[in-house]
Amino acid sequence: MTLPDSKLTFTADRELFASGSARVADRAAEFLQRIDQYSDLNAFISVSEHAFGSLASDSDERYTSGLQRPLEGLAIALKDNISFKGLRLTCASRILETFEPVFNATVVERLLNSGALIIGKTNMDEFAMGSSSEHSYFGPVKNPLDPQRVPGGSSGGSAVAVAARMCHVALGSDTGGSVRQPAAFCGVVGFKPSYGRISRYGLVAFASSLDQIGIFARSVDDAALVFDVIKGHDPMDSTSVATDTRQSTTQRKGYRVGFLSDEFIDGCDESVRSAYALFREHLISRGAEVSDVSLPNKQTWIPTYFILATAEASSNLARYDGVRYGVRADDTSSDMITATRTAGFGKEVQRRIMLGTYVLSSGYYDAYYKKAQQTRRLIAEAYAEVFNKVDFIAMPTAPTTAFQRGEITDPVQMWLSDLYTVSANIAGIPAISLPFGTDSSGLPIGMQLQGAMFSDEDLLQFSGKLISA
Amino acid sequence: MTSNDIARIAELARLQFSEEEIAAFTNEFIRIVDYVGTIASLNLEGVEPMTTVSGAVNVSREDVAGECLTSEEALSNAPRKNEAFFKVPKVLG
Repeated sequence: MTLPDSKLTFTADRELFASGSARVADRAAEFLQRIDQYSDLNAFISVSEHAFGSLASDSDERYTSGLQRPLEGLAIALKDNISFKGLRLTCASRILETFEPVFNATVVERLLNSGALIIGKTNMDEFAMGSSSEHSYFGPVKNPLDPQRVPGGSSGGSAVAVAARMCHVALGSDTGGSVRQPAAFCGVVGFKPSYGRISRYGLVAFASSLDQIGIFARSVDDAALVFDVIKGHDPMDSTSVATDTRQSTTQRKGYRVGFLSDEFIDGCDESVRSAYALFREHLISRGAEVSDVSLPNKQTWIPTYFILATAEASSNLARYDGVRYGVRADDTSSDMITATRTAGFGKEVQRRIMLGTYVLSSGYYDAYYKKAQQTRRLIAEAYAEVFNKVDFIAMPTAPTTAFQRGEITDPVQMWLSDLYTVSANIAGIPAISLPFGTDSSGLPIGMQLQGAMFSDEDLLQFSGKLISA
Repeated sequence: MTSNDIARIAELARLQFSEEEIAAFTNEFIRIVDYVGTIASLNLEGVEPMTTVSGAVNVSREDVAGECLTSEEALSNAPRKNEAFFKVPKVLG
């Protein structure tokens, strides 16, 4: 399909709803029709038709009476690892195929209280482990621009739902790039806030020190609107913070943006390298002060990420034992737990649990996990040093555009597609992927901007100016 | 790294693999461990391990009773249960 006009945003719709030129209920019906029409893309695992329809009419009444809330009538999709009472939560895994959540995630409560309508739960790589959305128990997600290609991952369904206009906005989770990389592959905006800015209560844990809920949108303004509603401290997540730095740079005339050397991007496709050069010119034309910076420890990023992420995952996924929830296999077996986990987890999840168990096991802990925590500090310090000189760092979101389904079978090569995204999670800093041109086949390219810890509002404000006409 | 090592890790992780799967896994695992192990050879003496990016240590709150799940809700997803318990296969012989 050809992607719908990027100007069809919630910000635009909100004005139409308020002026009475469009109705929330009609828009809701249109989105549901599109979900149905493009069901081959496999973007959704569950759709919330009933609640969506009646709530949409309520939203229209609120617009009529002038009582609309900040996100009144916003149709939002949730990655299927975020808890919403009333729709099953599967994490795209067989082991949670029948799981019915018993509470709402904090982000869900905040969205509902602001008038947002939850349209459904999106497909993903099982337990958010993957970069292609091919590893789902419910089948692979397809890229709307070319169904033979992947949409990126792990939040591929959310990226497709926004790109193909099946909703206004979608939430995903970003542990090592799982919002930004699919946003780049599908030509939409993908924002991962600083660690702690959005409560993780009700987000199924993968790697707790790296996980952060992120936002897919058709414009930076839409992403910022949703971020304003869902951000902030939550007593249910002790790692959440209330920091709001919006005042800090309001008087700044021009932002300083650091660019990395040719060597830094030498593994990228030619189209991505040229886009990076053009992005630099574009920033200059928009008044940014551009300079060269370097991040010296790039070769440690992926090993550090995969040691930390698999170790935390092996610990977090220990809870799936077939006792309290989830699908139980072979109730007569002497080892029900092993039978359940072997039948319930897919191959990529098992591979990562194995690696995590290995790096945490006795005798290897110091060689791997402790070393990765040390390199994590060096990576975070290198970033902090660069952010003394510039406000943002620009780099590609991914080394390639969307690849063919089944094209990458080697796990290490698949991990390398996250090269430019994992470091923001390691350091905890905010980062955004912005659509910026296409390759010769018309596939979208994403350019990434990263900011200092808690500079989220500045990053959004600057990004909004960059891609607006 | 031998297939015995892989079998031992699988046991720790409560996962079961066939002999063919273990053989295939062993080669793949050697390659993965080789790759992530590139940081194992770095000299990082004196670098304090970073456990969290926020620097938070212990976050505590007032001990106030609040709402929590009812036992019915807590049991609602159980594969097997009776009125107030999760049921599991017999553990002791």
